[in-house]
Amino acid sequence: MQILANPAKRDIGSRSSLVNLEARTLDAPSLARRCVLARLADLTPSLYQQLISQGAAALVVLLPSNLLVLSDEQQKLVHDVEEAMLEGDTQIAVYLAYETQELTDIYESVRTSTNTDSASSAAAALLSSLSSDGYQIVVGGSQSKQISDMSIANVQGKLSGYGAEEQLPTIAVVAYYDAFGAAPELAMGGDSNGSGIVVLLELARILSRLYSSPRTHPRLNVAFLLSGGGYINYQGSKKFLEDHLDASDSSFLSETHFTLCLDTLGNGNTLRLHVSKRPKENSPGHHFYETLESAGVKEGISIEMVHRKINLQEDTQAWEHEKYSMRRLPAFTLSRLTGPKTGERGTILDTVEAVNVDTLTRNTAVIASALLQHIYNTSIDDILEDGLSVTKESITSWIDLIASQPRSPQLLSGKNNPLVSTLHQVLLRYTNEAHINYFKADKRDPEWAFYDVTRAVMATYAVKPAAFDFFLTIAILGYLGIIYMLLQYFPMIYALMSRLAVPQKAKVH
Amino acid sequence: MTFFHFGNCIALAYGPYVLTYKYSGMPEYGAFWKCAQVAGMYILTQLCKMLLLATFFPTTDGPPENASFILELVKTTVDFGDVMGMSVVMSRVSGSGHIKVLITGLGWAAADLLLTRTLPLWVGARGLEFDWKYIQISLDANISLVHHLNLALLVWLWWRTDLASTVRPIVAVLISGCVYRPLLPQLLSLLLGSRPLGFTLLAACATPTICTALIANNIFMTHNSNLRS
Repeated sequence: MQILANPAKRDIGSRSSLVNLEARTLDAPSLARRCVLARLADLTPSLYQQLISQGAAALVVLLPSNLLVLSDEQQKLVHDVEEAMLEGDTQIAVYLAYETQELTDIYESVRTSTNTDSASSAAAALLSSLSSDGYQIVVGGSQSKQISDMSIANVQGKLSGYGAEEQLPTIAVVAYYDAFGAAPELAMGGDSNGSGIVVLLELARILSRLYSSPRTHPRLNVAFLLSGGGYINYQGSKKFLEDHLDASDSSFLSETHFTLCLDTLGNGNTLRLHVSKRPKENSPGHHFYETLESAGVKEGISIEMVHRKINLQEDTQAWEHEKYSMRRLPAFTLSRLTGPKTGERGTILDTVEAVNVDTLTRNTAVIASALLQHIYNTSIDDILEDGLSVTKESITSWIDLIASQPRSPQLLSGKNNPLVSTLHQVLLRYTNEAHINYFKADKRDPEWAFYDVTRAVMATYAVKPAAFDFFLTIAILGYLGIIYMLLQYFPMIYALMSRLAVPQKAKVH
Repeated sequence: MTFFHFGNCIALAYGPYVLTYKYSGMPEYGAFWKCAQVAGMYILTQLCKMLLLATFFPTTDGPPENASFILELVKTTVDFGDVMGMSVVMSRVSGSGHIKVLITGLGWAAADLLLTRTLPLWVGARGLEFDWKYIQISLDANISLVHHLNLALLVWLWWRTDLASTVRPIVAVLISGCVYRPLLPQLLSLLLGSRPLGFTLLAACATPTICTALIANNIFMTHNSNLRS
């Protein structure tokens, strides 16, 4: 059975990972010091709070094997539950598991057989506890502890324009590649931000073709950044900016036209350009907005500009571009979402199936043609021809590659993570100077900390109550007593049997 | 409370053995060491049997239900080694009739219990999971005690030269019945179409054992009164 554990990230999530408790379902009268089994559909935020206040010691949430079958209302409820779980930290162990046949059986038998806590009398309670089976849920292993040496990787690459590289303006394309959810092992991040990565990789592929041909080599640099730690206040972008702005010898971000952050683009017919400061007329940013609008109209996508001031009082930034805007770089985030906190980012429901590949293909094509129109400053139609066109096949293969595995930051840690290496290989193929930049949290004042035990194996045992064993002991003692009596009076029994046997002998003779 | 359950199982399995030893007058004969010797003989016999089985019968993979009955029958024939082992022990142990039988039977059964049932109990009954299986194993150990005492008695009777010639065939049949007893579940599954499980199987095993015990007792008593008269 595959069970996925909650992270304890800073001070959100569950702090415990060990379970050795008797199972109950939600409708049991008393849940104190029990492990509660609950179907996701039955759970509500208030019920979750109630569980904790009642003193439940562990919670196993049974996920339907296909999360897409949930109706919109249920999805909303799941968002709410997830939010409630991630609102703060809790001492109880919370596990999420896909509902397999075995788990369904366990759930049903727990529901029918163990909810006997309310009996009319003590004797009735004793009797029912003797006849009923209990279920003990055990999750072993080690208690979850902080991952000590966790690293986050930034993957970056650059396409250099024609001419002296240092003197050319730069466009930066940024997408964070991690995912988040109530359970790290279930955070697939299909739309958020798998779609952003896909668009970035497609842009890199298309531009690399154009940059390799002398006829279409533009006088503009394009930098690509796949930033890590997007869900922990865009640590990747923060580190990237520190490296390239504060270090005097780096010219990577000098004179940027704009920074385009890609976030959640896999659905919907409206793309929104989120800005912190409206770009001036005639600025490159505004020009890109116009080209995007014209490219969008052709495909029936409306483009909106959404303005949101950076709140400097807040510790965390809502959009990735705010990190750049705060450093006085022109930047905006392109997303289908209306706002940063719609609950559609960072949820376990955001799987690869949540992405509409057709829409993503169309959106990618629109973004690519807008960017090309901006770079070449032309408005020729059909700028994306044969080899350059965005095909559904390539989009599907990208999104499958990226969103087929959980991408929680703690799972992507380490030097040789396969996914990070793959992303690096892709950028290595399409861009120059592609490299991975690893960084860690500050030792003295860490901005983030993750806890391990993201996945555990759960075992369920049918158990009898302790009183049953006492009764068994009494029965065995009685049995042994009878044997003792038999042996004590064996001579008498023997004599009796002899008397019975001997007349028989007399008959024989 | 799981170790407690293990304790329960052990009490149920070993209690009758201890009681039998204590209250059947054996300690007066200093029979403990003799019982240990019998147990040693038991181990030797089992080794010989295993050697025979390993040499002449290739292992068949798969669950035991699939094995053919005839093959099992031939394999079980090797268990006549037990009878021979008991005969050898019986000829070595000194003592009067019923003590001889008790020492051989109890020693043999105790060794069997130690070597075949303690480990499953130790491994299984201490676990968190409750299963009636371990109580059944313990009860089966009690049946096995009766069975081995029985077999010892029959073997002892067989080697009596003064046994009435009319009962000798009965003794022979009972001995073979005891030897082929392990085949009972399979025979039942052949006859009934399904293999009995749990307590039903236990009852099915206990019934012939107790019947044999009663008949063997009867023969023993008749034989004794014959001697006396």
